[in-house]
Parts: sequence; C-alpha cells; structure tokens
Amino acid sequence: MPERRPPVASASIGFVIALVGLAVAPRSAHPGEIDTSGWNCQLCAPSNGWEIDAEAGAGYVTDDKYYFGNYTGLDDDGTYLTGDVFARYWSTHGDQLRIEGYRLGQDSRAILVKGGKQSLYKLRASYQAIPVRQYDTTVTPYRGNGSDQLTLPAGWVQAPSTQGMTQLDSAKHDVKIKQDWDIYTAGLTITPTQHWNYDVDYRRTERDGQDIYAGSFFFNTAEFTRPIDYHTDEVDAKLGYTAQDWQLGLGYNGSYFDNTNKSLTWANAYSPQSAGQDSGQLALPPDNQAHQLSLSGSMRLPAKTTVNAHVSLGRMSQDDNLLPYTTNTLIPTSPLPESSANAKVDTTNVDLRAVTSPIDKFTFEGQFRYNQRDNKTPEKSFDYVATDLFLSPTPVKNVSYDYDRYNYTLGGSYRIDSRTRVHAGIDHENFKRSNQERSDTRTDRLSTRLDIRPIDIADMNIEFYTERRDGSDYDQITNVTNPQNPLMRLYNMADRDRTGIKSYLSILAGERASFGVDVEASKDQYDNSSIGLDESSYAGLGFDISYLITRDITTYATTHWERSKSNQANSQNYSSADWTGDTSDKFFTGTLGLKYPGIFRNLGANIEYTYAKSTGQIGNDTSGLQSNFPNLETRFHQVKLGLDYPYSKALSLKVGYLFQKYNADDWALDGVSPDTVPNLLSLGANPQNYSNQVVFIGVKYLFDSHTKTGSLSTQ
Amino acid sequence: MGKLEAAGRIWVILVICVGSILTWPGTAYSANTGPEKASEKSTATASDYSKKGADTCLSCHNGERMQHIFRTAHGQGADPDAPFAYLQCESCHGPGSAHTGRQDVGAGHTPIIDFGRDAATPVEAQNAVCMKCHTRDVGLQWTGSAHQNSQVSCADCHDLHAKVDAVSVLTEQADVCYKCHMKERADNLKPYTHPVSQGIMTCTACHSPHHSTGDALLNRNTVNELCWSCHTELRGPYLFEHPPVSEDCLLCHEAHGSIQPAMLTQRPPLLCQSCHSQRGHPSISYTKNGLAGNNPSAFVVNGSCVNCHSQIHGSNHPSGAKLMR
Repeated sequence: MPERRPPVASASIGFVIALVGLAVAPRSAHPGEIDTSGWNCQLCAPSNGWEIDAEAGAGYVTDDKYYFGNYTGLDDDGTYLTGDVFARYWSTHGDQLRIEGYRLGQDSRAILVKGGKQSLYKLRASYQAIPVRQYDTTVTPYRGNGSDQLTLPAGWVQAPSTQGMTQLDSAKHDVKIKQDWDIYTAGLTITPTQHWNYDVDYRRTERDGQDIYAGSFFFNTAEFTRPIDYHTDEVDAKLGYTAQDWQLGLGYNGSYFDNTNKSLTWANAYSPQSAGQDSGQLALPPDNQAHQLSLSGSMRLPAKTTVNAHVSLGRMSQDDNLLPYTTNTLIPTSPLPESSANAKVDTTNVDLRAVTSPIDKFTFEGQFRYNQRDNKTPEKSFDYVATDLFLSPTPVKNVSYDYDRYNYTLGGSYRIDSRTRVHAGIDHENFKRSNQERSDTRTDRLSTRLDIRPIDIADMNIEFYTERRDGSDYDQITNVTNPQNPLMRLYNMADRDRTGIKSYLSILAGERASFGVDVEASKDQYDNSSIGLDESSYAGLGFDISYLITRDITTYATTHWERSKSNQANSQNYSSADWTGDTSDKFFTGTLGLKYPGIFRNLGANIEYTYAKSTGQIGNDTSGLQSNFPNLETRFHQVKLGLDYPYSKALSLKVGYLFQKYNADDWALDGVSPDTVPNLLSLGANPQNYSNQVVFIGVKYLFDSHTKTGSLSTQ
Repeated sequence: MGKLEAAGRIWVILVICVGSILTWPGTAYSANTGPEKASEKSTATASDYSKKGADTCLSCHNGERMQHIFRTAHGQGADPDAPFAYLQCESCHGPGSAHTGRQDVGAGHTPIIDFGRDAATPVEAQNAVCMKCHTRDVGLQWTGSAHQNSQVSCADCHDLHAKVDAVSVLTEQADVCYKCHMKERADNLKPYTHPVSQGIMTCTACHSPHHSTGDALLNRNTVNELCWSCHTELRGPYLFEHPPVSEDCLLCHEAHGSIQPAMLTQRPPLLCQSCHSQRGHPSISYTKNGLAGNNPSAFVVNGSCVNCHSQIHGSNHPSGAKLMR
C-alpha cells in the first residue's frame, strides 16, 4: 500500500500552489496602464448640447362620441391643438436635462422633466391628466349632481314604483358620468458618495367628477351620481447604503387621503314605506392615512450566495365622525357607541430570501414571506336601521378582519448544458383568517420548468404546476341574522386542486424575422364544495410575428385568443344544490401592421389594424330548466394610418388618421330606461357604441445643437 | 478518522478555497463601484484592448445605432461616471483587440461581449457587465428574482444603443414588456382596463421588473397595498368591512383587464353568488326572465346586487352592516 502523504504536507503543498498561481497569474490591467492617448474618438458623434424633437399640429374629431373620450379626452367633435416634445440636454460636465411632453393641449396630456448630474443628484417632476369618460346617455330627475345633496324638483310625485312617477319624464335631465385625474409628482435623489443615496418623492393626486352609485329604501332603489372630490398626498423617502458586497435601505411611505364630501343625501323618489322615510344618507369614503416604515438589506456571500431581507411595518387609520344611524327622525335610536370608528389596521410584511450556487450548474433558492393584517378597529355594538325604514331588534357588531399569511418556497435549477436548464420548486402557504368560516387554509404547490434552446435561433420554456389547498374545518358563521347555507364553501378558502401548464417559444430568424408563441392553460376544481364555485378553467393561445420585407419595410402581426369558464352551484331552499350557474368568457384580438419608410420617394407610411372581440355567456340550470342569457359582446376595430414627409433634415410634415369603431351588447343595460324596472329608478345608461375618426396634420421639428440641424431649409 | 487528519483535511480545503478566491477572475460579482473598479478585477492586459478605442470599433460599426449612444448617459465621454469615459466601447463590450485584429481567412471575427436575445454571450455574463455599475439601482435582490430566474438579460429590455431606451418612455414601455408578456398585451385591449394601451400608464406603475418583495414583482408588499396607493378612497379601514375586499382585490377584479365592467372577474349576480347563499334573494337563481322586455328585475339589470348594496368595498356608516348605507 503506498504511503499516504500526511495532511499537513498536503496543506502546505496546496498553499504553495496557491501562491505560485497568484504570482504567475496575469495581472489585471488597470485603466491607468492602458494607453488611451490615441483614443481620440474622432468618429464619435458629439455628445453634449441640445437635441429637441418637437411635434405640433391640429387634429379634427369628426363626431362627438363620449366614450371615445375615455382616456383620450376627445369626447367632443371639432378641432383641437396638440403636440409632443422630447428634449434632451447634456453639458460638457455630465449635467443632463430631459423633457418629455405627450398629447399637450389634450385632456390626456403628460409632461415629465428629469435632470441632474450622474452619480451626484437627480431631479424629477411630472404632471399627468387622465380623463375618464363613461356615459353621457345617463339621465336623472335628481338635482345637485356633483354635490353631496341630491334633491328632487318641486312638484315631484312620489310613487310605489317607477312606473307611477308621473313627473319623471319632465324632470329627468342629462347627467354625465366622468372623472378627471390630475397627478403631480416631484422627486429628488442625492448620491453624495458612491455609497450613500437619498431619495424623496412626493405625489399629489386630485380626482374630480362623479360616478354611478345607488341607494335603496328596502327593495326600492335608485341610481344616482356620487360626487368625487378626492385628494391624496403621498411621500416616499428612502435612505440607502451600498458597500462592496452588501446593501442596506431604510424607507418611509406616508399617504393622506382627503374627501371633500363625507356623506351623500338623496331624496326618496318612492312613496315612503314608513313615516319619515323622506331621504337616505350614505357614508362616503372617509379621510384616511397610511404610514409604512421599511428596512431592507442584501448581502453577497461566498459560494455565489446572496441573501435578502425586508421588513416593513405599517398602519392605516381613519377617524372620521360617524353619521347618525338614520335621517328618519321618527326612528328612535341609541346614542352611537363612539363618535368615530377609530379604525386602525396594522400591517407587517417580512420577506427573506437566499439564493446560492455552491456547485457549478446548480442554483438553490429559499424564500420566506409573511404578511399580516392586524385589524385593531374596536368592535362595538351598533343599532341597525334598515334603509331608514325600521330599527332592527337585533343590534349588529362591526367585525374586525385579520389575516396572517405565511409563504415558504424552496426551489432549485440545474443547467444541463449551455442550452438547457431545468427548474423545480415547492411552495407552501398557510393563510390564517379571523372571524371567517375557515380559520386556516394550507396550499401546497409543485412546479417544474424546462428552459431550452433547441437550436441557435429558438428559445423555449415549458412549465407545469400542480397545487392543492385544504385546511381546518369549515365552520359556519352563525352569530348573524341571516347566516350562509352550511354547505357553502367560499372559493378563496375552499379545498381546491389546481393544475396548469404554460409554454413560450421564441424564434429569431436572423435580423429578418421573429416569431413567438404563448400557450397557457389551467384548471381549478373544488370537489368538496357542494355550494359555491365548483370548477373553473382558463386556456389562452397567442402568436407574435414580425418580418422585415426589406431592410426598411417591416410587417408585424399579433393575435391572442383566450377562454375562461366557471361553474358554480347554489340552493334556493337553503339546502343542497338545486341550481347551477355557468359562465364562459372568450376574448380574441389581432393586430396587423406595416411600416414602409420611402413608400414614394421620401414619403414614409405606416398602417395598423387592430380587432378585438369579447363574448360573455351566462347560463343557469334550475332544477333541469336551462336559461341562457343573451351574449354579452364587445367588438372593437381600429385603423391607424400615418404619413411622414421629410421636408428637410429638420422638418417633417406629418399626417395621421385614426378610425375607431366600438359596439357593445350588454343585457344589463340594453333596453333599461329610468322606469323599466318597477323598483329601480335607473340612470338609463346605454351600452357604449361609437364610430369615430380623427385626422391630424402637423409638423415635426428636430433641432440638434451640435450638428446645427434645425434649419428649415430643404438643403 | 483521527482529529489531526480531520483538521488537516479542513485546512486543505480552506487553503484551496482561499487560493482560488485570490486568483478568481471575479468578473461576475464585482462591486458596484463604477467601471474603473470593474476593470481592476478583469484579467485582461493592456494588449487585449484595441489600438484606438471607439475609433477602431466605429470604423466598422458605424451605423446610426452606434452613434445614438453618444446622446445617452452611457456615451458621455466627459462624464467620469459614464462607462464611455473609461474604456469607451470596451468598457461594456470587453477587450476588443482579438475581435479587431487580423483574422484567418474565412474564420470570422473573434467574438466580443455582445448583448441581447440573439447574443452569443451567456446571459449571466451580459448581466454581469451591467451590474458592475448598476448594482445600486437594480439591487442585489435581482439575484433570484423572477426575471433573473427566467434568464432575462438586461439587454432584453434595455436598448442602450437606441436614440431613447423605450422602457423609459411613457408611451413605449409596454411594447417592450409585451415581447414576452403576450397575454398582457391582449388584456390591455379588453374593453375594461387600466389606461396602458393609451400610453397613460406604464407597466412599472405597478411592477418592479428588477426585484420585489411582493407577488408578481409588484411595487408593494401586497396586492391591496398597491391598489390602494392610487385608489386611496378604498383603503379605509371601514367600520363595516367586506372580507374579500380587505384580503385581496384580485378575488373580484382582474388587474390587467377584463371583458366585464369595473374589471370584474365575473358578472353579478353570479360573482356575488359564488360566495353568498343566505336565505332569500341572495341564493335565488336569476335568469334571463329578469331582463328588460321580460320581467325586468333589479337583481339582474344595471348593477345587479350593487343596485342596493352599493357600498360593496365597505361602509363607514353606523347602519352600514349590509353595505347599503
């Protein structure tokens, strides 16, 4: 037997080998040692100065279609001025400024400004307007829309049903359902050293308008407008330290919401069901605030290991004064137990993650996440006045809902070769809820994925997952006046089996063509739910192709199809299931486009067509009797055409054309006028249908200070 | 095994480890201390770099895309913190002498560090170049994040040679994400969506593509925290809560887009009846008989259940237990 070398000797030899290796290893090249004196960058484009790309012009909208103005602001016909700008400035010392403006002059305008000096400071500010335009076909007899008091005109005749409201036709008038968001932001980042950075951001959001709301007097209900006059101020501050192999960050987020209106009072359009039931009053969203402190850290350890940790503690609260139990002065009630809800919810979030690759080709990952909602709102007993009609003999208690969510993930991947990698992971979630039917649910998930590059030009991945959820016993909540059917299983807590598959294929055929396919399917089964959601499924398929016909001419096409289905059961007799409901939603969209610069001499053109169709089907099977609702459908067509003629190096003439057509069939709105339903005074919104065109003519001007581009000459 | 032998084995392992670390190329996990420090850790020598720097590269690669970079942060030669100020193109693309030097006939140019989906350079190597400078912005949490696990390279989303990096443009960012997230492109064309396809909102308004502590790379710890950052009127906390609202907005809503109004996952009354089975009207089978033209019913048309239970997100009214006040 050969003599085994003593370990100390082995160690010494190893140490010497390391030292020799260190001595003979090529020394790293420091930048100072590389002779860059000849690196004059003579072929480089100038880097400092101004570069401005500005476009201005006028558009013409052919028709005033209100819903066309949703997010565009173009709800009126006629001419409008608009413009876009992109401006950039670099100084010779690294100072920079960037200004962007979009749809300037329109209700959907946005301006963003950023500037600063790299690795020293950054400033940023923006303004954005978002127009929301929903309905202009809505009518109401109420006056005071947009305020917190809705009244009926003098001479209004109350009636037991809408058909008896004799003054309705003469009293109703148009009211638009719309909102405008105005968002202002400002921020600053300071990086005084390469290790420290400070960030502070402020955002102010103002929302103004009205949306559709409703209030009832027992089973007689009325739609009306709810005023929106909201303001939110938000501050985000961060302090960060970055060292060679670790980072630490401390953050604060504070948000303050203010609602100008605390309540909405509306006159009773129906004949009162009891004396004194002349008006109703809703509580509008209360002023609230939220604060959160967070601490994050990351560290890089040997053996290609990174650990991350994040902890945040937050509090949401509101203490707006409570409204009285009822506006019906004839109903005696107890005093309120408190003047305000004194509502308070504390949140805790923890995220711990470690990723390591100790062995070549293997990567392991572990993660723990904890989210807690601790509702500290005092639970009190309140009188219950049912829709200003009567005082219930049974008081009610406000219930504070809490949860604790624990999530554990373990995963690993193995790189078989440079083209192939497999992943596998297990995930366990434990969700604990208070005051709900199931105190504890547990979900286990297994997933596996293959990433492969079968040939040089193709990338593919395929993922399969399976999941099972179960938990503690399902206990009916009984301390309420009208409890659930004991057989009901809420789908967010019910036992569930889920399986799914996802796959993505991408092919890049050189510079000329690219092709992508996306497939996804999943199925949920609730085998232990005899009442509630029983089954749901999803299937989706998409394609994406682009092709360069020539170096300059591009064509592209995308398409996507999907279907979601679900089936649920319920009981009209508070017993075992005696009816089921099925839904099937389908959506298809496709886009074709062509970009052709130089279609005729210097004239460039681009054209794009988009089509989208949705179909929603709902059917009920009640003791063997099938009843299917009409299809809910939307159909959308859009054609965009653009022409670009460069008059000179700096000046281009642009013409644009947009056609949009949108049609909707919606049984919830079709044929429903204010008095169609005896006990629903409706706003009579019609499904949105429109066809509209926009023509744009403008000029685009490019100014480049260093190349002196900017002359309007054709030279 | 004796104690001495065990100690000896441990010593050998430690020495080999220390020796390896001392001679480790160290390109993948360098500090975030700027490009100068990166090249200190490189094993390249002066002769590995090109003779004339960018002029060498631009003598062949002289298209518009190459020149655009000089109007971006990376190409500011006068800024000491820009990569171009150090080793010009070779700050990112690595030493170029072999690539630009004399090649055997028919052999093609020796590869250089390249970026993008069709690049020969492995994704880890591509990203390591960017992380030399951007560890602070991107964060060490990138390691193990969803995109990193999916082998997404920085250059898959960021185009440094473009005139303007599309992900930084309000009206163009979503198109970059849609190259892989095809379903989300379709979702944003559904009839009820957030204003992403109109160029008003970006994907990063809700998602942090580099890393996140929440599900689905959300900007906040939970779905509700994120939704309430804009929809602050729903945050409450309300006196009378609707339990699924407090738990997860996605129990009833589809954040990317839906074919149902208010971005609901399903139409009422069936949506509500998937959880409500109380005696009386909550558990009745409502059919097409409730439509206009038949026996129109407030349980079916317009808002269905919210025709009465309008305070569906919660109520701060003392008589609001049934979400009607």
